[in-house]
Amino acid sequence: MRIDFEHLTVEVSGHRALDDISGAFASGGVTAVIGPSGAGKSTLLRVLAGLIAPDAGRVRFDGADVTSLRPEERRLGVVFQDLRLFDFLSARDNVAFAPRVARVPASLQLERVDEALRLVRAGAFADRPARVLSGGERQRIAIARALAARPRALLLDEPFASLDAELRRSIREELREVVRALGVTAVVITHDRDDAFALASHFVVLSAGRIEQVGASNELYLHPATEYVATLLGEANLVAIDAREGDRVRVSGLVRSATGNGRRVLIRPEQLRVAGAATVTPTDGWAARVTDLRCSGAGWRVQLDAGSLGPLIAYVATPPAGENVWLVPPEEVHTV
Amino acid sequence: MKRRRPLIIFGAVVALLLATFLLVPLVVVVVSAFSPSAALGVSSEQWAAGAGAGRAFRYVLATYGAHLRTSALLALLSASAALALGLPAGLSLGVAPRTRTAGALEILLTLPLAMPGLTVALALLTAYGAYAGDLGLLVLGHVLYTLPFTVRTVAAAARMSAIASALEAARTLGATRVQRARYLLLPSLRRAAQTSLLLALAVSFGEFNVTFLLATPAHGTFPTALYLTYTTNSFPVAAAATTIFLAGLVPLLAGALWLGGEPQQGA
Amino acid sequence: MAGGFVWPLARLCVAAFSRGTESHSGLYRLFADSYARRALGHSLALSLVVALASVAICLPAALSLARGRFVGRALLRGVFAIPLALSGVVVGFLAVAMLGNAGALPALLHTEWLRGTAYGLGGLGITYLYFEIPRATLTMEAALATVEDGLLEAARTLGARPRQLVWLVFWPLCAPALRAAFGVTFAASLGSFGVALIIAGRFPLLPVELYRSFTGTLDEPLGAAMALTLALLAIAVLWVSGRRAR
Repeated sequence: MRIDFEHLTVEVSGHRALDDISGAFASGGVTAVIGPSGAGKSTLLRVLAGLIAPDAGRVRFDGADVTSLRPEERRLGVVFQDLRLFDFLSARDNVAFAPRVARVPASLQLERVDEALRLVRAGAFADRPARVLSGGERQRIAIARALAARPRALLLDEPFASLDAELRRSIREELREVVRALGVTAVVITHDRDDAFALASHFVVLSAGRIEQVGASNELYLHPATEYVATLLGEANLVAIDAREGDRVRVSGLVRSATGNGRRVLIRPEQLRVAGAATVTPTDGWAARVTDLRCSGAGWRVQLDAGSLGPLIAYVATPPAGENVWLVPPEEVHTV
Repeated sequence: MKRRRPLIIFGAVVALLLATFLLVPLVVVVVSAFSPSAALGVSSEQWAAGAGAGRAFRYVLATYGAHLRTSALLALLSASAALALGLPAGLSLGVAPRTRTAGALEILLTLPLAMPGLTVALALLTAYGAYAGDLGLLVLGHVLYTLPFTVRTVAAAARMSAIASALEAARTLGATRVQRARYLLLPSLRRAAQTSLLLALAVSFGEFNVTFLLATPAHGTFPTALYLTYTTNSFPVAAAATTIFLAGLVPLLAGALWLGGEPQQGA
Repeated sequence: MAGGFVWPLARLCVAAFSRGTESHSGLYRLFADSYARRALGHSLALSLVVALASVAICLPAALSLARGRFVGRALLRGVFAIPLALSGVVVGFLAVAMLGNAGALPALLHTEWLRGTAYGLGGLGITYLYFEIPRATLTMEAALATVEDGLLEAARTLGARPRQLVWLVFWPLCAPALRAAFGVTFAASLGSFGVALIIAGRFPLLPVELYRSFTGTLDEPLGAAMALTLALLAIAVLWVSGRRAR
């Protein structure tokens, strides 16, 4: 199901939580709505779910206006940040809630519930009371409960907020598989870029109630429209441009072809090549000094002092041999 | 959730009606205590014409003044004893991890509240009947009722303020035992101690069952005096005595509520 | 605690099983003697009716106090707190003052039929309600305040219609509060002594009978058996109703 929202405005005690925003979530795709807390992410989700009425604007499901539809009439699956399991019910009865209130015939109910439980691998603890489940189990049941509703779209609000890092990764991967297998439209609200990259191929970046940028995840990572998006989606080296000529820019003596028309060059840490002093001539790179070196597991994170360029970060596979190195930026750069 | 609005309004109206139901008898009694001849239909002949409002009060104070003094003394003694015992007990319960032993101890401490007051009173009478009338026995009986309040209030405050972890943090920062008590324990438990002291005073002052069974007439408390006025005296005297009782009780309750205590049941 | 509470209770148990001057133990006679049994039955029936009535009457008030935000809410709660601390004899006297033979209510309303109702079964019920209403209201209010709006929202997103919302979510969430309030009021009514002492002349109620057998007829074993039975019943009801309430 395609979700469109047009000119949404929501005021919460005089402050604009959403400020005239428009956009769409493609049918069958997974979109991450990403931004810091207070950006309006949860407000957007609550408007889509019908839990709050917007002060202005429309919401459309497959083109049909649903703005005035009540939450129970929207047939969405919502996974809340605090999960909101019904602790007085068993895990299975939580999952069976939506088929039950929809008056699905009993045999079909059973089938749907079992299917949802199987998808999130919750069969083993399905008959326990919800209140005795562990954090990971609760998370799975919350997802299964939303899936069993056969939702037209899945809305997930910071879905892994309550999990530790390891569990978060494994459940995230499972959710990715489930959503892809079902082909359901999904919207993931998150402040965590790892969650966003892991689950979604498409991003909507929110800031202070407005949409900052929309696009494919890799596109936003490499070609952000603003410094804000650049730093939100990963570590970023931002270096001031000395001069610009058409689509070529000069930065501290080096000339590069550039996309975007900003005043600073964005170089992601993994785009910056670190070379030993002997391998590069001064016209190919910037001289820099290693100030900090730390293992990041898969590789090394190098912190460098490049004089007037300021401090820079580079990710490399092997640590540089000496303290003095050359830094080589990519042939094509993006400016913001 | 606008749908529940009518229910909330209906509930508020019910609450208001119930509050009226609770308040009106108190108001009637207090008013008739001050105007024994008023046309409330409750004045008996001997108090009717010409009797000033003060007369009933003077009579109560003259006849049952000793009971009032006993009640005040008993309330002070048992409330201070409850505080002296309840502060350390509540603190250690609040600081201790929630083990089975701690849970059992807490249940044992609150058991006197769960039981009918009469059962506790009779148990005391069976065990210590020889000391009936002794002030010490009365204090013991009242402490059984007041201690649960102090222990629970202090333990709740200790848990709320996470005093155990704060004390640990203070130790790592080099605070001595005295400094920890002065800068951490006292400030975080002061309000709980004040609240539970007021509650204990109110509970002890209003307690009837234990005193009624354990006290001799000479050591009777004011609630037993109330019983005497209800059964032997005229209505204006009973109303005046009740008014004096309320004047002692309500400020204590109001103070405890104002300090943030939860409403608690008396005996 | 041991000397002040456990030991006396132990002595009470011993007394309840002892024979005294009679041929059977107090506990045996409590259930064999029809008068004592009737008093127990009256007490249980009165407590049951009063507890059910107070829970039913106070539910809307408790809901409103717990979930509504209106002016005077704190004051209302304060008013509810006063009767909690009044001893039973005072409440009994209030009943006499309002509905007694020279009560204020018949005089104020100029009606004769209310006169003396305090001493009847209806008056007894109303008077018990007087001290149970605050208990029931405040117990339920505390429990209802913890019901989260979030769960109702979640249920709506899952398709629950208003009526399903009430029956499938709101009611189960309230149930522990109702159970707890029922237990607290039932136990308090069962053990209430002062009110019955003042106005329950016509109906034998267990607390009054136990007081009489202890002080009047000096039948210690029977009195102890009654006291023990009252305590066990009260604690059992509190335990069952409070289980899983949190």
